[in-house]
Amino acid sequence: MKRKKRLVVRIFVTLIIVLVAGVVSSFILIQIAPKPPVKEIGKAREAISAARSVNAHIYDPEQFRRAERLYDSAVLLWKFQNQEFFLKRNFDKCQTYAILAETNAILAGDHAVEKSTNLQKTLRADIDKLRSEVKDFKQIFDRLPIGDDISKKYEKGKLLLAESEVNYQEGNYLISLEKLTQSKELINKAMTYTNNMVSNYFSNYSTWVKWADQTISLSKRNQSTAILVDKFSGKCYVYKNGALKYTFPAEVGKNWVGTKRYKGDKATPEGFYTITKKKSNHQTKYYKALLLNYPNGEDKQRFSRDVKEGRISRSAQIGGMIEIHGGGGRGANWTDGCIALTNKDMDVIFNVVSEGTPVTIIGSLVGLKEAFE
Amino acid sequence: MKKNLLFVIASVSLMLIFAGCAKLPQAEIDAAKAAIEEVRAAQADVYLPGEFSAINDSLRVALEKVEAQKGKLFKSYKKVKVQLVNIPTMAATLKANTETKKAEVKAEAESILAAVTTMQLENNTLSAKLPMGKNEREAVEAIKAELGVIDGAITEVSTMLTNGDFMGALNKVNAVKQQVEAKNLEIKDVLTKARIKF
Repeated sequence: MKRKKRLVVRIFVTLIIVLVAGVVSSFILIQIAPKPPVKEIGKAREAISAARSVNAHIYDPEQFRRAERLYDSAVLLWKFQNQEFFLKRNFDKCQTYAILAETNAILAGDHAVEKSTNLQKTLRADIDKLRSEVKDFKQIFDRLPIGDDISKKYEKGKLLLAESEVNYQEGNYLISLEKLTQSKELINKAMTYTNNMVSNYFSNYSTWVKWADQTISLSKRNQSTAILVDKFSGKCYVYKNGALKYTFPAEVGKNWVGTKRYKGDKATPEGFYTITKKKSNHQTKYYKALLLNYPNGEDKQRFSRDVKEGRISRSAQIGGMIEIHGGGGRGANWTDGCIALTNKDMDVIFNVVSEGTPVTIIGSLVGLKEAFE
Repeated sequence: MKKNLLFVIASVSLMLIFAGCAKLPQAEIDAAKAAIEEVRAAQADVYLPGEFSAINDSLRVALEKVEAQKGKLFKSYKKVKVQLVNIPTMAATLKANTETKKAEVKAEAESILAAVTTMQLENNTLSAKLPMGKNEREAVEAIKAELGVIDGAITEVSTMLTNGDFMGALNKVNAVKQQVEAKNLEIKDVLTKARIKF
């Protein structure tokens, strides 16, 4: 009985020793076993979260995505290593990825802050600049016969500019930039088109001034009446003996920018003409009319050249029947190329001119700069 | 004595077995992930990005904790399970908040659109009264062209609302509002200067 009791005690002591040894060795093994980079992974996650809060995913998406991918890889490697025997685990790569994820996230956050701050500043300046350009351009744009296509582009551009401003106010700087870029493209197209139109138009300014001077000089030299029509200002001047006698408002062709080139272009010709016929009563539907000798020699030469060089169709006609006639006062450039005065003004002019009276039609009496001041 | 000894051995063994084989809360993980996807589908990332980011972070923290427990000899998923269970609840709240926010944005966009449409209607009516004087002709044509473009933009906002792009619609309609108001002032100014009643 005693032997049996001693045996039990021995077994018990042995078991305790084995158990304690097991626990101690397990403890030692756990201590020396590779540790997962919990801290590094946590820091990477926090860095990613911080970067997202400053919109790094929007302003530096590439670097931000790299940080996220590195974090995901670190977690995945951690998962794989957990499947290994605990002494065989290796978290080196996992740790490297976690550290890289944190670094990339911090960089992405810094870039985002820098980029959004810079973008905010440049956007403000760019939006204000374009707004100011649009405002200045309005007076030019509003006076010219711009085609529907260009007009619509310009208006869409202005709407996009407003959208850019709204998104700027909301802090959506990248969307604001996108809208501003689209707006700039449309507005610049319209501005370029209009500036070209105006520049081309006013490139003849020195010639027009010469023509006007010649007309007035001729009126003075011959002690006769001469008519000068300024399409840009919409005025018809009557000179007698070199002195200005009358000024009438005049309406011209709808497409008044540029000279007349062919029938139906709704443009008023530019050049030296003379009155070939005075029409009244039933000879004209516009109360009274003064028929001009359009096309003159220069018009005919230009037309032939344009047809030959393919600028206008071979089937086009040069047109004719350009008159100074009544029916004006509509307050718009509406004719097919004629010059319309009010019936009252027509009465006055009709009495002071005769067949052979010179009529000079010019683009503008003032230069480009003064014209839009 | 022998009985006591056997009991101690059995208890320690069982403890070790249970500790070593604690069950991975896979169902909770899957439920949390699914809940977040549902919230994403509800566009929480668009309407409440901060909150959406926070719930995503909660999942990441929980998953990190799961991995940390997996690597331990004595695993315990109790705490992380509580965290994981919380995520679908948080997601449900976020989804409801997103819907509320969406409804607010939609209502705001619709309200502005209604005001803009009314003013644009007035603009179109007033534009018919604009004087067509020599120096105004092109300006009037420009105003009319602009009104046409605004009409198009209003239609675009309506389409965006129909398609569920409420945030986009709100931003666009705010821009359109600026243009419509500016046009309204411009038209009224021209009419006042021309002494035309409106």
